[in-house]
Order: sequence, then C-alpha cells, then structure tokens
Amino acid sequence: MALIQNIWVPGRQIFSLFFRSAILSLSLWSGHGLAAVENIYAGTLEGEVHFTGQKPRPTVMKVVKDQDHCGTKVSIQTVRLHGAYGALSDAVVTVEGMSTNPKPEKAQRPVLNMRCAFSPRISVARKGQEVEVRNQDPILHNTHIKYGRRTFLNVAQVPSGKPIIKRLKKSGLHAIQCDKHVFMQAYLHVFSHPFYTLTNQTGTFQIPDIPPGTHTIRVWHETLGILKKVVKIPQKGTTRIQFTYP
Amino acid sequence: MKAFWKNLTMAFGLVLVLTSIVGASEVTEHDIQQGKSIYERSCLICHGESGKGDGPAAFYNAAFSAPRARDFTVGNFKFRSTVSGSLPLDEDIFRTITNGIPGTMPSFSGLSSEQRWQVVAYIKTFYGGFQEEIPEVIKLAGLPILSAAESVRRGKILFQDMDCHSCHGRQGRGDGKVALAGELHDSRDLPISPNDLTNPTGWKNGATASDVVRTLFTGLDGTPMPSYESQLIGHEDDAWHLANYLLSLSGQN
Repeated sequence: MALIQNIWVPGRQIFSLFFRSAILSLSLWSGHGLAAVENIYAGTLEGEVHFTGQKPRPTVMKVVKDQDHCGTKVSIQTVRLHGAYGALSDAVVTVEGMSTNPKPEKAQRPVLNMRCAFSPRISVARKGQEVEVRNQDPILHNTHIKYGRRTFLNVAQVPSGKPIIKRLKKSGLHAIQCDKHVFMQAYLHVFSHPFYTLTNQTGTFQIPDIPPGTHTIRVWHETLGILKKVVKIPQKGTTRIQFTYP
Repeated sequence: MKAFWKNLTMAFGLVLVLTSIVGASEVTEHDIQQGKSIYERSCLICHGESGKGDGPAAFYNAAFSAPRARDFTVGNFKFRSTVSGSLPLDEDIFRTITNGIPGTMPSFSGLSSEQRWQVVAYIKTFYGGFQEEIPEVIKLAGLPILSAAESVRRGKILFQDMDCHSCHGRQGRGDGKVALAGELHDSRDLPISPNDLTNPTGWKNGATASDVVRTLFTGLDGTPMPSYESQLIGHEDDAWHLANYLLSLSGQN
C-alpha cells in the first residue's frame, strides 16, 4: 500500500493542483467563492441617513371595513425619525450596478398581516429567498404583492389561515397591499446581489465586503424618494458616507 | 403476464403524454406569422399593435374604469388554471379566445381551432416571460358536488365566513362596503367593480361550477380578486358548495 502511495505521489500532486485550480475557477465563475476572495480586497461602507426640516404630517385614512378591529381611522407616518438629529429609519441603501450573483442564504422573509398593517412595512430580501405570508388578525386579509404591474401573489387568508410561502424570482421593488383594507401598504425590495441594507433606528447602516472601486450608493425612501452619491471604496478599511433628506 | 400488460399500458400512456407535450410545444415561425395576421385583423383594434391593450377602441371602451383591453406585455392574465402570479397555460388563452368574455370581448369561435392556436402563439410573443417561466397549475382534488339545497345552504355560510361580501355585497350584487367606498382598483390603477353575482351574463371566467371553483383557486391576477387556494386545499368540498351558492344567486344552478 505504501509502495503504491509512493508511486502515485507525483500524479496525486498534479491532480491535486489541477483539482484545486478547477474548484477555484468554478467557484469564481459561479460566484460562490467570490465573498471569500473579496474579503482579501474589500471595504466596508458605513453611513447615516437624516431628515432635516419640518416633519411631514401623517396621512389619515378612513376605515370602511372591519372597524371593530381596525378602528374608524388609520394614521400613517412614513417618515420615521429618531433622536434629536432626525435619524431616519427604514431607508433602503444599496450599491448600484452590482452584477455578482452568489447563491443567497436560505431565508424566509415574513410578511405579517398584524393589527391591520403589514409588518414589516419596509423589508429587503435576496432573489431566490422566500416570502412567508401570515395573517395574525382575527379578520380576513388579502395580501396582494405586485412588481411593476404584474401580480406576484394575491392570496386571501382567513384568520389563522395557512401561511403561504413563495420564492422571489425577480429582483426589484415589490409593492404589497391589502385590497380590502387599502391603508395596508408595504414594500419589499429584492436584490440580485448582497450589497444592500436598511437603516436602523439610529439612522445608520453598514454594508460589508464591497469590492474596491468607485460605486454609486443609492438610498430609497417610500415617500421621500431617492438620493444618490458616488463613493470610492478602498481595498481595505471603512468608508463613511452621509445622506440628508429632503 | 399481468405485470407485462400493466407495464405495456404505462409505457403506451407515457408515449401518449410525451407526444402530446411535444405536439403542444411545436410552434413554427409560420404559425406565429399566421397568428400575427389574424391578430391584426381581429384583436388589434382593442389590444393594440404592440399588445399593450392600447388599440384604437380600448380607450373608448374603458376610458375611466376597468376592464380595459388586456396588456399582453405585462404578464398579468386574469383567466387561468394556474396559481396566483403564474402565467397561464396555452389552453387558458385558447379558452378565452374561444369563449370570449361576457360583456367585454366577443367569442372568436368563428376562427378555426388552428387559427386560434396561431393567435395564442402570437400573443405569447408579446411577453418574454413565456420563454422563461413554467406555469404552475392549481391542484384541484376531489370530485364535483352537485348543486342541491344543502350544498347551496353551506355555500351561503361560506360566502359570509370567507368575507366575499366585503366586495360582492351581502346579496352578491357587487355592492360591498369596500366596493361602494371606491377603494378597488386594477393593475392600471383604474377603478374596478366587483362582479354582480346576480347577473347571469356577468360571469367573465365562465359560469359552470367548475369555472367558478377554478376562479376561487386562481384568483384574477391584475384585479383585487385574490386566490383562495391555500384556504381551500384540503377543503375542496367547500369550494364546490361556495360555487353552487354563487351560481344560485343568478339562478344558474
């Protein structure tokens, strides 16, 4: 056995080298190994999103159905500010024009019908992940998800009805609505790459492992609109950026 | 010997299935060009040259409210036998062309079957998704339940429990609270009215019990009418009771 091993050692080394090269090429080609490679030369983007000026008044909508549970009026404030400096939460931050497409981690993004609202109102997901729609209210809701004008899903759910799970096949903005309660609206952003996030309750965000180079950073807010800035990401370290609405 | 015949029958069945699949997918450039020619004579006036539902008559037929002629470039199809969000089967488009849509679109059963299939082939060229997506057919188990007083009575209870009256109204006249508040819109954001279930000519997706059950399972994409599939799977009897009740509202059971 030892003799056989000795005889085959050079061959095994060549095979091993070839095999490793093939795996590396394959992983780079498919994108699976990209994150590991990028970690060698990749920067982190950290930033803040603020709102200055007069805070918009909430939109008040009349409830025509299920008033026992939803009330007679609903007040919706889309500009959610925190602290003394107008830190803005629920803004979607992304690096534009990223074409890498490593396989996303398996995950289910919840879309809950809860207290006559969708929770979360703003969410982000990777193409290939799934949405899980649940109704936790004691009344019937329909969850109508559209991308552009096309229906992605329009399902009725009775109280405590079965959860509905569906894979996200397209990247882009998905608008969510309950047709029976039109004040129930939400947005789900689906990306084909991992370079995105939401601002938290301090208005800050962090996107790690960005390939070095000049990138356009885009911030989306459901009523305040879109802001963009160009930023240079170095091979290592953290780059800071700040956005201010309006 | 019994096993031999069983295997032979299965093999024969498999060949038949495969043959039908291959046959159905054999669309030639000639078919598409023929379909285009027929489309331009028969469909363009409403659906428009590029299939956007913007033909010369479309706006005048539905200037300020739905339903306007279908926009084939979006991928929303109301009348399907597939799950919510899925593209239709070719047979679904063929059925709509053949039967028409009561109140909005004429039947084109005057065209030969071959010509209707050619129109189906041409309509599918307007939306690239037909090349990429595989339609997902609804799963409908169990046998139909014939309409009878008991079935209609159970359907009436389900109509209330499943909150159909929010849009269609307590008596099914399309005058539910949400409808009267003007809150319902289609995918073009045009105001849309729920079907008046008491009108026997208003059943756009067909007026047999199986048509109604299919509609309950699929929903009508591009409109507020949702799919009840996840709530009715495992309770298929309820779907038939509800269909029987809905048809009774217009005296069609």
